Amino acid sequence: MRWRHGLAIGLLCQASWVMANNEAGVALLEKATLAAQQTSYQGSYVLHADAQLTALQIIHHWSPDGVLEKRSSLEGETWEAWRDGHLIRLFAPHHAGKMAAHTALARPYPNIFTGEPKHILNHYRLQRLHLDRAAGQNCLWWALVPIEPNRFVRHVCFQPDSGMVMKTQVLDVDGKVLERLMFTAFSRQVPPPNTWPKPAFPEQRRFVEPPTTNNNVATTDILTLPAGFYLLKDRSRTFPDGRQAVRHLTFSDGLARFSVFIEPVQPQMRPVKMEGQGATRLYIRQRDGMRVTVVGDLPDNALRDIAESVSAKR
Amino acid sequence: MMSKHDEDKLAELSAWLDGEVDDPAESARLARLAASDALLNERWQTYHLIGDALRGDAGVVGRSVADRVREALQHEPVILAPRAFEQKAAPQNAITADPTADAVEPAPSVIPIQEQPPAKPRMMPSAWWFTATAASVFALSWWFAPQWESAVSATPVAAVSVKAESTVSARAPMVADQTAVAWRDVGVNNPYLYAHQEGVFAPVMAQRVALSGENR
Repeated sequence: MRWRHGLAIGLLCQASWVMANNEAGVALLEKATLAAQQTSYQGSYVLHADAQLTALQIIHHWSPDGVLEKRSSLEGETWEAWRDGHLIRLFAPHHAGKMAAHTALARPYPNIFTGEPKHILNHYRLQRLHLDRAAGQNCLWWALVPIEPNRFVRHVCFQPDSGMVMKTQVLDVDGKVLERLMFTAFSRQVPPPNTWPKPAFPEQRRFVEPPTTNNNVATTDILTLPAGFYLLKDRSRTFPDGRQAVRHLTFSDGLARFSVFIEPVQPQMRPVKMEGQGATRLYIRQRDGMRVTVVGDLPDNALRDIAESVSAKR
Repeated sequence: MMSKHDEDKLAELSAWLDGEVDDPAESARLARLAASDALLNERWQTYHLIGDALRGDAGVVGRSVADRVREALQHEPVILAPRAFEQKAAPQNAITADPTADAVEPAPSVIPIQEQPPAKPRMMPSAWWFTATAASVFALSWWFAPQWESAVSATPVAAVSVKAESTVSARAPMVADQTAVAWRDVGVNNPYLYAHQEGVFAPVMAQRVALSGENR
């Protein structure tokens, strides 16, 4: 009987340790999200993917009335993106700047945890790494190791006091860094928004970002989802080349995100399977008159499995 | 051979990457410089790979890193420079300089600075830095590479990726004439990538707006 008591106590200790560890992890991710969303800061940061370096600048002003944020390029194609609450406006002198802005804005740095921390930690295990420095400040690296297969590992360097994400990396299954983002300058001193210079370019596009909601609409009749992913949006859209309407579904697990495009095969379509850009990969499948394209920051295996699981039922 | 100007830029980049540039304006200038300057852009990657290796991110330490460092060294020959100061003709307290000495005294373990032997020709700091980091990277590669290779061969990850391909092919054959196209060839004009990116930062596009010089 004694050994049973010992076993029970051991299991209880382990369970409480896991629970405490999970709670600490949730607190860390919540702190990082609050730091990115509900504080004011400015700085420059770089995106490094596929041997390309992009230098960017951010000014983020938070007040109880809302968020005003400006992102801009520091080199190459010039553009500015202004976010006022849920309204995003894109300013660029020409088309190339708008395209460059898309690539940069698709990385919501430093607000990388777009889902519920508790949900994220149901699918990623936090693992403490080592101290580092970024933009003149200390930060502590943590690894977010996926519990299920077919996800990328993320390394995130949190500022100890505020939880601000100072650096982040996406790594493939072999540990190769696919892309990294890091602050190269960071300050809490943010000038009042009424002193910010006005956009220097014409407005190109305007978007509304709706409040994030977990929309768990059943999609199993369409495709088999990897564990932990939920539907963000299901809509019909058209592409500029005038092809038929394409069904566009977007999914997330709170950290990774992918899109599925479903459309009938057109005669002029070239069946291509493409490589990736940094951590963003793309896979196209054409069969039975249907073309399925999956794009997202997931390993190739995962994208292929998702694409292959899409059925003809619509 | 690197010019003094390039060396200064690299020193600045190194400090910047170490997070030691506190001035936001200076940091922004360096970010612009690093992104626009081909030399700095290349070094950025090398520094990061070496940094990852030294921090112990074993997966990053592959043969490619060693190759890259070797290539970098090949393209940047070690600079040997003569010592800048004059050499003394002979040490004043050289043992042979005092023929009257009764016994040979043991050499002091710490030699005063003035009495240190002439320095050998020294390498420039950057060359030392590269040599030292290259040695570290090689050592780490030697340390990690066997484990890494054995781990890759032992873990099912690589095998799964191959098997999954064949499994999927058997289950649902891929299009026979699929052509691998590098993403960069397609560029950001890929409508799927564009739509996906748009969905990340703004899942709903509210409206298109007029472009004619609107400045809000």
